[in-house]
Amino acid sequence: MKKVLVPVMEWLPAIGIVVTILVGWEIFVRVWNIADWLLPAPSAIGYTLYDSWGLLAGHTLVTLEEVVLGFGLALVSGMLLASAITLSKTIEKALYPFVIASQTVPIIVIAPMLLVWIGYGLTPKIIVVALISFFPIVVNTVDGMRSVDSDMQKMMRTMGGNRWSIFLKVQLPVSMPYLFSGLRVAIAVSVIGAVIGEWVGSSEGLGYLMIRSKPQFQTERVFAAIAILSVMGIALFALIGLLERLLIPWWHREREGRPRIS
Amino acid sequence: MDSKRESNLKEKIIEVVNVSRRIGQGSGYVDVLANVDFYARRGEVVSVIGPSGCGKSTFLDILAGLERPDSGTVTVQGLHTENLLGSVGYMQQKDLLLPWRTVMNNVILGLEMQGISKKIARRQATERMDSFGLSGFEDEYPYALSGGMRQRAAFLRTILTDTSVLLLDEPFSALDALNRSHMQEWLLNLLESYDEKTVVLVTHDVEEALFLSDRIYVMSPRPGRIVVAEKIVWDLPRSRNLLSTQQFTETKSRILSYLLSSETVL
Ligand SMILES: Nc1ncnc2c1ncn2[C@@H]1O[C@H](COP(=O)(O)OP(=O)(O)OP(=O)(O)O)[C@@H](O)[C@H]1O
Ligand SMILES: [Mg+2]
Repeated sequence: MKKVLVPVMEWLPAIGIVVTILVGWEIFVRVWNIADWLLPAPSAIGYTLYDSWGLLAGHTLVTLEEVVLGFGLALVSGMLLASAITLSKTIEKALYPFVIASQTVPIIVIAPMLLVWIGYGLTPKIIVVALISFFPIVVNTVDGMRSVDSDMQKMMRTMGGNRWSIFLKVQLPVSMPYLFSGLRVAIAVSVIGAVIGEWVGSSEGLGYLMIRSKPQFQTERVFAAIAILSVMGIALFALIGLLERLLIPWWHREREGRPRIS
Repeated sequence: MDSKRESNLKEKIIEVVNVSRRIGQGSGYVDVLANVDFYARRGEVVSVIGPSGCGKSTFLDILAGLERPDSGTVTVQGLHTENLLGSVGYMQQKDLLLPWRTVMNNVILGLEMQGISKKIARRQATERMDSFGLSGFEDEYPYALSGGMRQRAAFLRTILTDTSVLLLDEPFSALDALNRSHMQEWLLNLLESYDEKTVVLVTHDVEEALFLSDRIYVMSPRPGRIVVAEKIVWDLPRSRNLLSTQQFTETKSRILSYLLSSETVL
């Protein structure tokens, strides 16, 4: 019982704020009689979610696919690049400046170019998502790999460890908590990346639906899409947290750090 | 048996001649070690005792092949500085257990690095878990262990690599007094069962050095020099009782006076 209650209690303040805002919003719209196309009431948005669920679900799946594939691409390429940067000074000097520079070019500029080069379809969206989420992954993982205690490296060397075994047995595991911090940031921006990719040019996805609904004054549909995007972001964020607890359980215990045995 | 041990005593497993070490470049350097001469014979337990910051850990780093001396020669089992890494067991001041590995997977790390299969490594570790007071805790993560247990796990990890030279850097400095004296007795018993191993024990605790070792080197404050080397022979067998004998207290105050006089030199 307690186990179930604790997370609920933890979320209570956030839930409270959301409920307060929704209720205030509803009252505001009803009292001032605001037109639906200007600002739909939460109840109207809720009704749209229910009524157009088939349409919304189809576009949601498209966006989700872009997010997951782009994020996956960023994860794999980000970890490979972080490893290469850690293992080779030459690669670090050659590539790290570009990793940083890549973030100074606004994604909103790159996205239309990708459209020109690659065309419509899934691929340019995956690339936009990967481009936007790859940076926090690389930077955090490199920091993590570098954070290894020099005494720990010494210990590995006295046991016959070389650069590669130190990397695999120490640097890689040490970097995991850092990687997960990077992934949390990355997943949040991934969703934004997918929507931007769709805005620039697409025929499906929640971003596309928003762009198309607005001129038709279907504002409640725009808000419904926003609601779904938020839920998607929060759910993916929570999923990363769950994976973290499963894959690196030692990290939380280490931080909570209370010896149980003496 | 005894005569064999006598003849073995003649062989110098570790020999350090006139070693100096300066750390840092340009004007920001520090002389850490100056003209250190040192040796240890097969099967000996030799302590190096000196004030904090005098270069004891640096000395062990040099014996392990982690650092090169700027001058002088180091020979350990016939190997020189360049080839030492991987052939000397070194337990550093911190336990350095890997937090993501269980106790079992931590202690077999060295064997794993030697390319021994996990199965065989685990079997070897299991045989010794008990004498290291770790049985039952094989699957625990380091965070759950007490300081003493962490030290023993780090020690077991070093022992399992089965090198004939062991370097121990203040193995008990992180423990409270009671735990420390338990661990000292435990180590004494353990070392008696490994009488072929040559052990260099670094400490700043005179009693610990006297209790555990066959010979003691006293180092001066930085730059570390050897002030005196003394052979320790007790009339009584080593046990807690020894600590209250007159011979022990006299030796202790003599070593302390060497330490203190070296301190006032600077
Ligand atoms: N990389 C380094 N750069 C600068 N100074 C260093 C470095 N390594 C060691 N020193 C200095 O060299 C001296 C000796 O260090 P070392 O760790 O060998 O001493 P120690 O006798 O083991 O000390 P402790 O008893 O505190 O463990 C210290 O004063 C330290 O500040
Ligand atoms: Mg030290």
